[in-house]
Formats: sequence, C-alpha cells, structure tokens
Amino acid sequence: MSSLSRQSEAKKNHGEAKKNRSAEGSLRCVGYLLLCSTVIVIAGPLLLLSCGTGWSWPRLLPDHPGFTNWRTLLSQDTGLLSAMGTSAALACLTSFTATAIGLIMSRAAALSTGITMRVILFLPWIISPVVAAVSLYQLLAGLSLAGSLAGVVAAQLVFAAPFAAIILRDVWNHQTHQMIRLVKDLGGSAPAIWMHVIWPRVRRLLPLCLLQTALFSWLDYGIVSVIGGGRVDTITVRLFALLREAGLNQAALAAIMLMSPAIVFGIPLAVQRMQLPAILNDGAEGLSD
Amino acid sequence: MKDSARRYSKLPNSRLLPAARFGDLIIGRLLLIGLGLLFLQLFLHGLCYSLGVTGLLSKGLTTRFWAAAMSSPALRQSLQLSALIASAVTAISLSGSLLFTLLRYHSGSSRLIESALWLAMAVPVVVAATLTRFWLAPGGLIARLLYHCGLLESPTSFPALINDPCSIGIILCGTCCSMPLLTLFQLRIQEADGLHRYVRTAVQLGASRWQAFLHVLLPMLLQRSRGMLALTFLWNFSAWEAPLLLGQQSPRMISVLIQKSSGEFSLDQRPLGFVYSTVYFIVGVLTIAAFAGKAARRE
Repeated sequence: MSSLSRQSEAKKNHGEAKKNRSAEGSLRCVGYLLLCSTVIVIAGPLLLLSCGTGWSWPRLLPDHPGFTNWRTLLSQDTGLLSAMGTSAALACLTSFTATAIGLIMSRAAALSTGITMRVILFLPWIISPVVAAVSLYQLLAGLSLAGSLAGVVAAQLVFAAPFAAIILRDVWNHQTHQMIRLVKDLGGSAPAIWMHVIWPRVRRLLPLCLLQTALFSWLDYGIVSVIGGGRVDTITVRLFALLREAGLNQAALAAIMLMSPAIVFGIPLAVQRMQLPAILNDGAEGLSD
Repeated sequence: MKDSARRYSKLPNSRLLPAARFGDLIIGRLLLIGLGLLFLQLFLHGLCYSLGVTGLLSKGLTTRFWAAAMSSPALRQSLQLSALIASAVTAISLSGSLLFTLLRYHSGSSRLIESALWLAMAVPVVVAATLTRFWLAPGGLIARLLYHCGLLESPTSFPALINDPCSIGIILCGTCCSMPLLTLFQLRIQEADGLHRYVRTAVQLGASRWQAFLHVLLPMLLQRSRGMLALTFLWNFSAWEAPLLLGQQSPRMISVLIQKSSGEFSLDQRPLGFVYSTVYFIVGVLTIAAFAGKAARRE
C-alpha cells in the first residue's frame, strides 16, 4: 500500500517538474522574443536612417548609405560634448538631491492624515513645466539664480523631488512601521532604524528613483530653455533645434545621441537584479504564518 | 492585549507610532509646505496675468481674456481630449502590466523580460514620439514594408495613425512610455512586500491558483499601485512632447494649447495662455484632491 502511494507521489513530482521545465522554456522564449523585438523597434529605424542621407519612397534603406552624418557631427566643433557634460552634471545633481529630498518628503506625506500633503505631492505633475518655468523665472531672477546651472537644478528639483517622493512613498507601509516600532521598543536608535529597517526597503526602489529623476533632468527642455535663458547649454537645447530643423536622417542621429545615456544608465540596472532582503522575507513570513 | 492592538490598528499612522517620529519629519513637512506655497505663488501669478493685473502690456484689471476663453470651444475640447487620452493610456498600461504579472505568476520570473522592460523604459518620450513617426507615418517603415509585400499601393492608401482624429499615435507612444515603468513598479512591489507568500497561504488554505491570483494578488497589487496609476494618468494628461509631434492641429492637448498660446503668438494673446493654464491648474488640483480624498477615506 505504502509502496503504491510512494510510486504515485513520485509520478506526481515528476509531472510537476516536467510542467515547471516547460513553463520555464516558454518563459525564456517570450523573454527572448520581447527583448529582440524591443531592440529592433527602437534601434532599427534609428540606426538605419542615421547611417545615410535621404529616404525616398518606397526605399527601405537611405538613398545614399554611409557615415556622412556621423562624420559631420563628430568632425565639426559643435560643442556637443560640452553640452553632454553639462546635461550629465545636471542629471547627477538633480537625481541625487531629488532622491534625498524625496525620501524625507515621502515620510512626511505618508505620515500625514489629511489630503493636503498628498495634493501638494502630486501638484508638479499637473502643471506644464514650460508654463511653470515662465512663472519660476521671475522668482529665480530675484535670487540671482536665473541663467545659471544652480537655477536650473533648483527649478528641476521642484518637479523631480515630489516624483521621487511618490516613488518612495510605498516604503512607508504598515509593515515598515511595525518593524520600526519593534526596533524602537527593543532599544534601537534612530540611525539603527534608518540603517537596518528603512535602508533595505529604500534600496529596492532606489535605482528606479535615481534613473527616473536623472532621465527627467536629462530630457528636460522646457525648464532649461526658460530658466537657463540660453546660458545653460544642454544636449536637449541643441538636439531639439536639430529635430525641428533638420531632415529625417539628422533627426534619427539626434535621437540616438539623446537616448544613449538613458541606455547606458538603464542596461546596468537591467543586468543588476535586485535581491529580496532577508529582513523582508522574515517579515512577510511572519505575517503569512 | 488583543483589544489594544485592535484599537491601535484603527488609528492613523501618525498616531499609531508616536515613538517612531524623527527630526526629519519636521523637515519633510516644511519642504512640502514650501512646495505648496511655491505652487500657490505660480498659480496667483498666472491668475493675475490672465486678469491683466501683471504683464508687460497690461492695461489694468480686465475679464476679457476669460470671456474669450470661455466662449471658445478650444479649452473644453482640449480638456476632454487630454482626459480621454490619459484614461486610455492608463487603462492599456495597467492591462499590459497585469498581463506581465500574470505571466510571472504562471511561469516565474525572467531576467530577459525585465531587461526588455528596462530597455523600453530608458527610451525618452521625444525619441518614442520620433520612433512612432518613423514606424506609423504614411511614408514610414510599416507602410514601406506593406508596399514591398504588395499590400499597399501608395502612402496615401495607408490609414492615418499619426496626427489623426483618434490620437492613435499619441496613445501608442504614451503606452510604450508608461507601461514599462508601471510593470517594473508592480514587480518590485510584489517582491518587496512578499506578496507571493500571501498567495501561497491562500493556496495552502484550499484556493486554486487562479482564485489566489484573482482574489489575493490582484487586489493587493492594485491597492499598492494606486499612487503610480494616478501619476500615470496625470503624466499623460499633461503630456507635451508626444502631442506636439504626433497630435492634430485642432483640438490640441491642453499642454500644447497652453504652450502655443503663451509662447508662439503675439504678447497680446499671452494672457489667454495663462487663462488656460489657470483652468488647467484648477482642474488638476480638483482631480488630485478627489483622488487623495478617496484614498484618505479608504485608509
């Protein structure tokens, strides 16, 4: 009797393992398909059109394939590299400052009982940055910050910090509060709570938050053009002009230049898979048991 | 002990954990109040400009710009169009992200899928709009491929998918930009909060896998994604780059309408742009207040 039950259990386990293997295989296929199609849809037309001039109907390739556009761009003293440097500095300053401020703001917003704080948190996302920048200009001009890098960072933080706070708001859930209370009751200090309770939870969302705020700054055109007043020369200021004025080939080239840092930031984040911290595992286990 | 715990669980967070407050809480509140005051100042500046009180060419208090804006259908049509497009993008993005969640739930996690999502998320809106134009324009890649397959005779026979009345191009571009972020956010929340453990408990208690997904995982995910969904809606409501490149001339989405009215026409017409921005601000604040109020009541 027992040998029969053992046999049926072994059969069942074998069937489940087979099913799991088949699911893993199909998932891998879906993954490859999705990744390849994403790369083709994004990179295909941009590379195709940037490597050549002209694109008359119904040709699939440019009329005159070659690297003329790239050579022109790299050979001329266009100041593109210095513009990229300025954009990178802006993106770093904005993303790190916005994430730090956003973390503090998210805690205050999460612990507030009224709706006012929540409304304030979402405010920057309903106002067109261009219109807000026109009004902000007078304020920053009064502080002698208009037309400077610091002024642009300050204006971008008005939008980036609340966005970081929204992303990080979910850190402050009931489970976190329970854990904070537990550590506090056991005699843990404030730095210990930040280090051992809050940081492991923040770490999960930190790359997403930094990437989003850095991308916001890198791609911003409205605030830079109004607050910078032409004195803060970023890549978007140069490339938006190129997109508006030039043909399809130059537009494709400009799009690649605009997108490259996002890919450079994005791919390491994609490769680095974030692991579930043991402390969360234990907490969730305790709740489900 | 149980009564005490039950009493605590009914209290709001700020009263639940008096011992967990730090000095940063005061700084955080001051930052939020400062941000609110700044936006109040921006709102008042726009209102004063629209009423002719401030501005380079102001001739004193007047309501003619408000009367002109209210009598014209441009504002109403723009608000309607923006709300419709934002709703469509949010709904499609949510459906797509839930599909990924279901796939992950059924077959396990995949680095390849997450890599594709990270890659798609790294594409800026302006590049996504440019790509949409490259692919979907009447003379774009899809039209050319169809021509070479013998399915299309000329670019004019290709259906209008950009600068079209249904705003298909804008919705597609918005979805491509919003869905990866929403999906990655849901995957992270699922991991960070250990939601699979609740699912496992439900299955151990006798629920089927589908029931556990539908009645345990899905509601928990939706509850935790409310903020991000609201953000997705508002983000698309105030979208500027994609409608500028892919939208039709009339009606325009609200951000484009404001920008065109404020920046491109004569300075005489500038107050009209501030009328639009003031109305836009009020509508947005009311939407957020309604959403935040509902969330606060639920808590």
